[in-house]
Amino acid sequence: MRKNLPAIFLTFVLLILWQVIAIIINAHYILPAPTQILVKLWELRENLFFVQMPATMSVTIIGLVISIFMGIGLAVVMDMSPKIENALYPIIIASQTIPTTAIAPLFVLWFGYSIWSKVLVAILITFFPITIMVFDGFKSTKREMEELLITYGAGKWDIFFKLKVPTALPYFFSAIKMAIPLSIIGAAIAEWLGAQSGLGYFSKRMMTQLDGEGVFAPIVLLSAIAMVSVAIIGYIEEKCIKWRKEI
Amino acid sequence: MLEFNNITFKYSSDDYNMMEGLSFKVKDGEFISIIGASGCGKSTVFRLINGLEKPQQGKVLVDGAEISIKKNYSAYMPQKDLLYPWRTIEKNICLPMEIQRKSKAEMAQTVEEMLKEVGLWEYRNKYPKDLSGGMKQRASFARTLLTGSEMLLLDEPFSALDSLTKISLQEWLVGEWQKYKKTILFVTHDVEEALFLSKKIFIIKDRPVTYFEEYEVPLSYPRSREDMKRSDIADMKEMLINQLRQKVEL
Repeated sequence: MRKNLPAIFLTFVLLILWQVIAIIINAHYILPAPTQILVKLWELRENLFFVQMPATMSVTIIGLVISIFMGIGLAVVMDMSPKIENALYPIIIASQTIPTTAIAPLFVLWFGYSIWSKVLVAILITFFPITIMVFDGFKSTKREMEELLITYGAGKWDIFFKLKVPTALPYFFSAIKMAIPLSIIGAAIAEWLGAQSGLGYFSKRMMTQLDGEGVFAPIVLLSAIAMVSVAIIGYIEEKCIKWRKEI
Repeated sequence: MLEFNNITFKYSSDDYNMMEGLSFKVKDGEFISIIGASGCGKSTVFRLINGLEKPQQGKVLVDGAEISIKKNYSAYMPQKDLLYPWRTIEKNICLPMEIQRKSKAEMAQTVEEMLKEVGLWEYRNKYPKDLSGGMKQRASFARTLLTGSEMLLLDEPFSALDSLTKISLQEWLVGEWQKYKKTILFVTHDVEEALFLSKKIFIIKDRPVTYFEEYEVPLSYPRSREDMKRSDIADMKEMLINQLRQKVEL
C-alpha cells in the first residue's frame, strides 16, 4: 500500500486539477467534472452495470481466453521449430500493422452485429503481446540449465515442461497484465464501430446526445475494471512466482 | 573406464583446434583433477564426455563402447549450482530421477536418504534462495549423485565459495567419494585443491591440447590438511604451479 501512495496522491492532484478546469470551462458536454461523472455513473448504474457491462465483459473474456490459447500455442510451435518461427513471426508482426479502426467495420460486414465481430477485434489486439512475451520467455531459458537437463538424458518435452514453462511463467503473467487492458480496449473499440450493446456502444450513443458525463461514465467503468483485473493478476503472480528475481 | 581415443576438436566459432589427437584413460573409481590455465580446454573435456560437443575426429569410449550409444554414464556438476529457483531443494534433487521416470515411492525414499546424507533434510522444503552457498553446492552434488551415474564430472564446483566453506566441502567430498566409490573428474584452477582431493592430476599445458601430463599424488586416504605441509607435497605443489605459470600470460 505504501509504495502506491505517490500514485494515489498524483491521481488525486490530477482529479482536483480536472475538477477546477471543468468548473472554469463550465461546459459539461465538452469536459464534465469528475464529480459530475460519478453522479452520472450512479444514475445510470442499472443500465451500465447490468446491461452494458456484461456485454462488454463477455467480448473481453472470450477474446482474452482465445488470445491466451492462441498466443501460447503460437509461442510453443515457434519455440519448437525455427522453420515455423521464420514463417510465422513476420506474419504476426504484420498483423499488428493493420489499423484496428479500419478493419473492425469489415468484421461487422462479415459477422454482422454478433459477438464474434467484436471478439475478433479483441483477439487481433490481444494475441500479439501474449505470443511475443511467452515466446521471449521460452527463449530466455538459460543455456547451461538446458544443457544440464540434456546431460541427465532429458528429451525435448522434459526440457519444455521442466525448464521452459517455469522460466516463461513470469513473462506469461506480464503478458496477461498487458493483455487485459488491451482486450477491454479492443472490445470497446469494436463496440464503438458497430454494436447494439456494450459500454463502448453506450459511450458512443451518449456522444450523439452531447451528454459529456454519459460519454465518460462507461470509460471510467472500463478503466476501473482494467485496473482491478490487473491488480488481481498481479496479486496471483506475487503468490505464484516468489522466485521471479532469482531467474 | 573412460577413454579418449585420438580426439581432435574445434569449436565452430573458433579458427583453431582446441584439441589435437588427445588420448587418455581414466580407470573406474579414480579421483582425477584436471588443472590448467583459463581457456585451455578443461571444461571442453567435460562437454565432450557428456556428449554436448562432438569431436571432429576420434572417439570417446566408456567401458569400451562409444558414448553415442550409452545412456546415463556420466553426471555433470557445473561451477554454478544451477538449482532451479522454482523448485524446493527436495524437488531439485529429484530432477534426474524424474527424467529417468522413477516411481514416486522410489524417488521419495532415495531423496530422503540422500538429503540426510548431505545434511539438508531439514531444508528439503526450502527454496535455493534460502540456502547458503555451501548448502547449495551440497544440494547440487546430491542431485549429481542421484543421476545414478558411475562417473561424476565436477567443473570447479567450489570456486565461487569462501575459503572456509571450500575447505569443509573438499573434506566432505573426499568422504563422499570414498563412500560411493564413483569415478570423479574434477576441474579446478587451484593446485592445492587438486593435491588434497585427487589420486592423480592431469595438467593441460598447451593449446591445442595434445596430451595430459599426469602426476600421481603420493598420499593415501583419508587425508588431512597437515598432509599438505609435507615437504614432498609442498615441492610437488611448487612444481605444478611453476609448470602452470609458464603458460599464463599477463
